[in-house]
Amino acid sequence: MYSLLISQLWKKNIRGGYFKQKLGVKILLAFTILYFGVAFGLLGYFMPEILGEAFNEPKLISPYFMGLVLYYIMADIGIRFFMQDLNALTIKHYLCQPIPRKKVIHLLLGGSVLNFFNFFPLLFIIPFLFRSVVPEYGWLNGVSWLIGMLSLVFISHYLAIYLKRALAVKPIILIVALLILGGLGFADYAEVFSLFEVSKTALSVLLTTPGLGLAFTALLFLVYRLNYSFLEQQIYVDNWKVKATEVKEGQFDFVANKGMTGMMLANELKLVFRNKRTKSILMMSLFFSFYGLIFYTNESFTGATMYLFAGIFMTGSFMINYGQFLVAWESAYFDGILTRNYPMGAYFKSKLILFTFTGVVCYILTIPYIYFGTEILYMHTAAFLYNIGINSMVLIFASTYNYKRIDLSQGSAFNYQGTSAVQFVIVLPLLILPILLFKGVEIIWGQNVGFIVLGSVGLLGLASSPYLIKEITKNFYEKKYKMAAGYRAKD
Amino acid sequence: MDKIIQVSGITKIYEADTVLNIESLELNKGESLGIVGNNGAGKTTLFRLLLDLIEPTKGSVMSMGENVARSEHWKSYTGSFLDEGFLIDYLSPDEFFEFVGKLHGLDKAELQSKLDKYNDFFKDEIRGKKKYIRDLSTGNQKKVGIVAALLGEPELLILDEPFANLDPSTQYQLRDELKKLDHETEITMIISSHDIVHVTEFCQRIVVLDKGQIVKDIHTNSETLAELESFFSKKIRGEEVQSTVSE
Repeated sequence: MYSLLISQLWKKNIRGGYFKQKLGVKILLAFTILYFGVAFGLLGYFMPEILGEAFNEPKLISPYFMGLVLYYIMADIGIRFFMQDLNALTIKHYLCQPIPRKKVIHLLLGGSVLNFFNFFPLLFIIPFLFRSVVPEYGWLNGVSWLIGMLSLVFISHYLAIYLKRALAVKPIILIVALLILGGLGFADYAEVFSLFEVSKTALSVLLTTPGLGLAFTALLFLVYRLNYSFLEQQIYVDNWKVKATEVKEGQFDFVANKGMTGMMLANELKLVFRNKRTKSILMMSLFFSFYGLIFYTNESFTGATMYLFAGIFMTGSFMINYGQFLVAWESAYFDGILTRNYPMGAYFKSKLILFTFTGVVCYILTIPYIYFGTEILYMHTAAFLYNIGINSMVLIFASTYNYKRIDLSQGSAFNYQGTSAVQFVIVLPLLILPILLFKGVEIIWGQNVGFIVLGSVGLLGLASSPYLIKEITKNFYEKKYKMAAGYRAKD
Repeated sequence: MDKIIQVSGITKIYEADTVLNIESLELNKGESLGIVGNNGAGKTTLFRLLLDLIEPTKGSVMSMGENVARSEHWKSYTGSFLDEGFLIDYLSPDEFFEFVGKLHGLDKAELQSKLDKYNDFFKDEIRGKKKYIRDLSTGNQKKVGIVAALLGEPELLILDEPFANLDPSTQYQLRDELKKLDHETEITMIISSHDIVHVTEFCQRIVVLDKGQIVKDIHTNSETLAELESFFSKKIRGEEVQSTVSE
């Protein structure tokens, strides 16, 4: 029985997610994974040198490593809590089959181990084992240490999924966990006690007591049982039902009352605020406002060209992140758009207004960078005008080349749905074109003229938007069958 | 009589696979046409062609004398609901009706009075409920879609499987509503259904699609139901079915 269930689990992994993507996306994902893999591996390999330097060349390196483990586990649980999938519903279809409930739960819990988060730590634990632990403490302790560390990784895994599940049923558990974590973090910060010392002293025992690794495995077993009994109580399907969120009445009514374009804009705003993936794009865009802190403080990035890159990205962060999937966001009801008398001019104009409005918000958010010099403000102004005048139009035009369906109900972490070549190609006109334009002018007439030209081009684009929207609408009518067919294809 | 729909020489081929091939299908104003056929008979393809959602490989669909692929005029007098792809599911039903109403130029008072007529049909589960359309049951989603299609007082109504997923009482309600529309207004209806009893009850004309072709085109009379039943049961036994296209 288990072998059959496991083979189905395997098929589920093989036939979904990564393996379902187009070749281009696959390559990009593979590079990302490879990058992090190599980074983790190198981190593990050079850990002795890093720690040696940080702690003034102590005789033994391994105890200092152990000092970091608690921090790592805390961060790890946090990251897993937000990023890791639960796949709660994948067992629903087994519940009515003649399979013992026990097996279904074990499958759900055991299957969850197949996850990136559990494999990356191995990449630095194992090199470290060979470079430090074994030379310093010998093989017997080394193996025991490895068993202990692996157990810790999985303890963190099962604690994270437990917390995530518990959140759905008993939110108080999460609050308690947050209080404990926050309390520990604060105590450490306020130097009431050092988490580093605690971790170092407590976990170093693991290095010197052969067999203690198995005690951690026993702890892992306990955490597993905790998950198991929790699921056993909660396995009824209605416990998993996500509570329907209540509609906020009158939301964006002030926009909706402004004619047809306003109505379209209100719908788009509701789209952004009422769906998971679009909401996290909004959050991400706010985070990108801090991008300047990396660029403007780093000596090696000086020069208007690199700054302009950051400026365009920051003043257009929402536009760029959200806009590259424009119209594809609406793929679920695209047939409705085509069969009702949608005024397409107003439809595209509302998107331009959305971009202009969010552009203004991003621009205001980035004004404080004036601290790094008034040129930054000039540059942001030019970038902002270029964004709302030209880049918005480029994005709206490119939307008619998005042929991949996006399911709005899906979460956003590691979600590449809707990604196609368009998203890679579009970066060129969005970022490279303005930089080339600026650079060309700057070389001859200097920086300030460059900003003025860039801003003016943006204003020109904005002024000719009625014409551009007409052209985009024409193009839309030519592409609509292709778009509709693409959006209907569920994957 | 005025023709509202004229389908001529239309074929739809997907990779050498002919899914629809209709020599001619004409519909008079005010007529109600039921389309029946097994899965894969081409009903949805026909509907999508009528609504210009896909391009025909050959042929054309004319609505009131205008090619649906060239002109958009048909959108102002055609109400349609094929599937949930016609619903904006992150809106509440009220917001969605308001939006569709606005597309048809209705003001709030007009919209309210129109919606009030359907209060029985909604059974107090749809309006003013603070629920998103995505959180409604399939049956209730369907009600939202059908009423939205009727909001603009369309001259042509196209519904795909309107009875599926509705509870029994709602099915009768919908059937009576459509009957009433048919009797009291000049509306033209094209309705597909797997339930031949429902369609024969209020459609004046039934078209049977099979493997992408029209195999029967009959004006409904007392024998229609028996004729349809015999057609579909013969299909189970795999007997060759004779085409009896009238007109």
